[in-house]
Amino acid sequence: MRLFFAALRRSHDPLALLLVALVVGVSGWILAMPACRPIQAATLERFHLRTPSYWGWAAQQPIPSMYNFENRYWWFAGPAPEAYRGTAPLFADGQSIETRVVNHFPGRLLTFGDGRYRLLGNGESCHLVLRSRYRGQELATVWNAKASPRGGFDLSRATVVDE
Amino acid sequence: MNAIAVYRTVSGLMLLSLLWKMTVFAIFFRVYATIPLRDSFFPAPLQSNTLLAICYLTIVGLGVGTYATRSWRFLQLQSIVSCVSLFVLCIHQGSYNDVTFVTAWWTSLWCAWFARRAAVDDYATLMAKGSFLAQIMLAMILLGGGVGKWTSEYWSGEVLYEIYFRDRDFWVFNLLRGWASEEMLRWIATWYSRGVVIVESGCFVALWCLPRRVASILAVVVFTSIALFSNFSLFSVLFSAIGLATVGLFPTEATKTLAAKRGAGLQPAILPHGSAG
Repeated sequence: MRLFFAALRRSHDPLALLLVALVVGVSGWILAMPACRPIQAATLERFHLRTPSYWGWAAQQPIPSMYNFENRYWWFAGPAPEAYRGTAPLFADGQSIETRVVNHFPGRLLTFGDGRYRLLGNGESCHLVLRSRYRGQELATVWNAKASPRGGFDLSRATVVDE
Repeated sequence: MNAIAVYRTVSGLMLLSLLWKMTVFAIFFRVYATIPLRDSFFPAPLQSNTLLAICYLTIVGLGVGTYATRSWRFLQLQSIVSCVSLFVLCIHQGSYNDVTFVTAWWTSLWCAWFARRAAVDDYATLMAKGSFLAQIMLAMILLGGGVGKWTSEYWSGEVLYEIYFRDRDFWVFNLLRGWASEEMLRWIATWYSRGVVIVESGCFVALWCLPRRVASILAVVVFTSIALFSNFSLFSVLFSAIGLATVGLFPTEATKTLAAKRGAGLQPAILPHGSAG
């Protein structure tokens, strides 16, 4: 660090200072997350693509967040569940469900190539319930992929209300 | 040693990170073409397959071009265009979740700075600044992984047990499942998970404080270990970071041959060899 600032004194370099400020700012944001509920909420919304503004979401994307939070999904055919225990969906007996934990951005199950092929490759509508948890705060969202007459699927989201 | 070699090493490893899953991306591209998913959250251009392909191929093409020129003007252009294209990949519907593009974006940002300053600074000054900037970027990347795991679900090992230990087909986990009882496997998962949390978080402090060469070796070892002991696909994320880590392994003074060629009056300012960033 000492040699960095010594080198900065030898050559005027505002770009390097800007990079340091950017790294310090992002590190500060990350370090504040365990104690700051608004940052937790913003990051949970980011993971579910629920940030109110797309560009607000995009601005957070360079923040490293690999393998953050416990992210669980429930994937099922048929109607979306009407009842939840906490934020975990309750299913009818015999309904086919797959549930797993994934590393980050649980909506990748529908948006990213492998998941999209596996879940939507048969051309049928499907639902996902996504839940991410971090230090007592959690967000649950239902993602509905509805087969479209135009071909492909239309995606919509709804909040799971904790009952 | 000269600045071009440093730049090509970092940029080359970033290129390798993008090529690591090239065949997977090619398959995904076909999936997106055959199963479009319209989502009002993303602006239309950021759901476009064409834009995805243009950005990816531009970065790869310009990355290869790095080895065909020594022009800093071209390298400045290459790094800036790569940086913009990588940001598009970070916010595109088809690629936003892949951390490959996040670590590559930070690396391209460093490259853009380096290419700009290489035409201005002497080698020693450039390396003193470049290695410190690379170190703190790596510290931040590891911190981002670590802090998101400061939660009971990771401390108990439950998350990584489900992701890796339960049924992931990878040599470490296959070996452990064949050897350990279920109870022992959960115990190993707990301490594996705690180890990851401690190493990622601890490296943030270490990379800010350690001398540059030691910090670089530590970062290379940590990043390589993450992929070797959890998932080879992660090399796509980690090659870019390993590229940044190599900056501190380069000497901080130009080689004698180069210095001699430049002549005594043009020798770069010399910093203590191997000294802290």
